[in-house]
Amino acid sequence: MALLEVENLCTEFRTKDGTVTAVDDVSFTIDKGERIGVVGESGAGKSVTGLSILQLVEYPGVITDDSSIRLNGEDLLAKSEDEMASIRGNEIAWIPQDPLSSLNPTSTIGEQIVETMRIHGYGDDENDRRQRAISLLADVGIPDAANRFDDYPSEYSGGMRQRVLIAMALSCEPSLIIADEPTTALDVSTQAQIVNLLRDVTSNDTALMVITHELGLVAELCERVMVLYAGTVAEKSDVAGIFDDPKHPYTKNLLKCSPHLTMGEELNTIPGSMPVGSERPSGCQFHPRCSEAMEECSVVEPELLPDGDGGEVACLLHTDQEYNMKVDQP
Amino acid sequence: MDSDLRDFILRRVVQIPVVLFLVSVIVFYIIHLPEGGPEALLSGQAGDEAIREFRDRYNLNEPLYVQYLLWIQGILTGSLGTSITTNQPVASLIASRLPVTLMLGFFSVAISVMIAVPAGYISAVEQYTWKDHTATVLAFVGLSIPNFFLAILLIKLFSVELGWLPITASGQMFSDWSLTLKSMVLPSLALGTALAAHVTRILRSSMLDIYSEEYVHVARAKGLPEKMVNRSIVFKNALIPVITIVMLQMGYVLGATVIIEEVFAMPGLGRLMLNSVVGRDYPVMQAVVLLYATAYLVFNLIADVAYGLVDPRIKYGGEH
Repeated sequence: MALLEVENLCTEFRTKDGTVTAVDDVSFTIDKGERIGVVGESGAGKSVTGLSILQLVEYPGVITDDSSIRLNGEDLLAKSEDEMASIRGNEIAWIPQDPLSSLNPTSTIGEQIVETMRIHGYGDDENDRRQRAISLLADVGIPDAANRFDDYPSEYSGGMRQRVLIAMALSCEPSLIIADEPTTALDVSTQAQIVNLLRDVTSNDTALMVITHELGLVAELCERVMVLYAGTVAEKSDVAGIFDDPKHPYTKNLLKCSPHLTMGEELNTIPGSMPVGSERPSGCQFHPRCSEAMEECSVVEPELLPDGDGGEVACLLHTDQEYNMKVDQP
Repeated sequence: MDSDLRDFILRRVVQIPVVLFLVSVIVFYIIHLPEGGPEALLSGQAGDEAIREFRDRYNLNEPLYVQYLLWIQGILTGSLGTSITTNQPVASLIASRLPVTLMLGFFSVAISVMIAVPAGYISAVEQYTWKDHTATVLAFVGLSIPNFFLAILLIKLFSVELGWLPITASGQMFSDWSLTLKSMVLPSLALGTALAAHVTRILRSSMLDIYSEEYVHVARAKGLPEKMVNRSIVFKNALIPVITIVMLQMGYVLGATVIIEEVFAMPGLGRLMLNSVVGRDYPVMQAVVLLYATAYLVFNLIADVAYGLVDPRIKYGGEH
C-alpha cells in the first residue's frame, strides 16, 4: 500500500465571479520514503495540491466531495479539524516557501521547534524535547546549536531559517514532508546546501513531495516527477524519463526554458500564458500554446494514459501513437 | 537589561531637556503675547500704586527675556514661583492636584484596556459575525461621541436618575476613600470608552494583518490548534503596535483630563491649568504646561522602550 494516495483531487475556489478550479482531477501516489517532484509554472496548482493534502487551502478554496486523499489507507477528508491538526506537523509536515516570513518573530527558534513536539506529545518531557531540538538544529547544520537555541528568528540568516524550518518539519518524525519551493528564496550556494540537506534527511523512511518550478531541483532530489499544467496532470514519469525522453510538449518546452550555463544562448519561452481563473480552453488545456497541436486537440480532452515507457502522459499525440502501435501489431 | 537598551534610554533622556527648553521658550512667549497682564484683573478695585507694586513683585516690568531667565533660574533652583491668584507656591499646588489626574488617567486607561482587549480579539477572531459588527458599531459610537457629552449622559443616568454614583467627591477627595473611588468611576468611564473604541479598532486591524502572515500559516501547518494560533501567535504579535498606541494615548488622556475634570469638578491638574488660564496666573500656567510637556515626552520614551521589549526584531543602537 502506498503511503499517500490522492485520487481525483479537485480543489475549487468559489468566488463571486465564478468558480476557479485550481486543481482539476489530479491523482497520484507517494510510496514510503519516496521523493516526488511536482513541477509546473506559477498557478499550475502545485501549491494548492500540497495544501489540499494538509487541508489548509484558504477560504474560499474547497476540496470537492469526489476527491479522495488517503494516508496509510485512512481517509483524510473524513477527519475532523482537530484530527487533522494532530496529523499536521506530526505525520505530514510542511516546509514553506519563504523562510524569512515563516517563523514567528516574537518566539525563539528553540521554542518554535519544541512547541511542535509539545502539541503532538512527542518526547518524554520538556528537557527531552529541548535536547532533541538542539540535536535537530545541529543535524541541519546550525553551528553552535545549543547556544543559538534561544535566539530569535531575526538573528538568523535566510538560509539558517530554512534549516530551522526543515528541523521543525523533521521534529516529530513525519512519514511525509511537503516542501513548497524550499529553495526559491535562497541564494545559489545556500540552495545547493539545502538540497543536500533535504536529500540526507529524507534518505530513510520519510517521503518527500517537492513542489517547484525548477527542474534542476527535481533532477537533484527526486525519483519521480509529476508535471502539472493548469491544474491537470500533463505527465508523470521517473526522473530519467523526464529529462531524457519527455513526452508531453509542455514538458519539452519547460525543459528548454531552464537556464543552463551556456554563454549567450537565448532561453526558450513558451508563447502565451497558462489559463487562469474561470475561463478555460476546450480540449487540451495546453493546446493554444502548443506548437504541435492538432485539430482534435481543441476538442478532445486527453486522458492520462501509460506512455509505454513506464510513465503516463495526457497528450493525444502520444496516446494516438500508442493506439496505432497496438493496432499495427498483429 | 542589555547595554544597547541602556544606551538608547540614556540618549533619549539626554534629548528631553533640549525639547523641554524649546517648549519652555514657546510656552513663555505665547503666554506673554497678549496685551494686558494679570493686573488687568485687579484694575477694577486697585489704584495705580497697587498695580505698579504688583508688576514689580512679579517682575512684569523687566524685558521679556529677563523674565524668562528669571523663571528658568527659579525652576533650576527648585522654585516654580508663587501663584498670582492664590499666593500659594506653584509646586505645592501641583503636588496637591497631581494625584487626582494620575488616578483619573490610570483608571481611564485600565477601563479602556479591559474593554478593548476582549472586544478587539473577538472582533478579529470572529470577523464579519454579529459580534464583530456589534463591536465595530459600538467602537464608532464611542469614537464619535465627544467625551464631555458622554460625561453628561453618564451623570444624568447614574447620578441623577439612578443615584448609584456621586458626580463628584468635591471637598472630600482623599479624605473619604470610598467616596473618592466612587467619584472616579464616571469620569474614568467617560474618558476610557473613547480610548477603548480606538484600541479595539487598532487591535482588530492589527490581528487581521497578522492573520495574513506566512508564519501563521506555518503554525497551522505544524499542527497548532486554531485557538492556540489565535492566542499565542496572532494576539501576541498584534499586541506590539497596540502597546505603542496605548502609551501614545497617555498624551491624549492628559489633554482630555482638562475637560473631564472640569465637567466633574475634580481638583486635578487639568482644572488647575484651566483656572490659571482664566485668571491669567502666569506662574501656574507655565509650570503646568511644562509639566504636561514633560509627561508627554516621558510617555513617548516609555512607548519606544516598551516597543523594543516586546518585539525582539527591534535593535537599539544599530551601530553593529
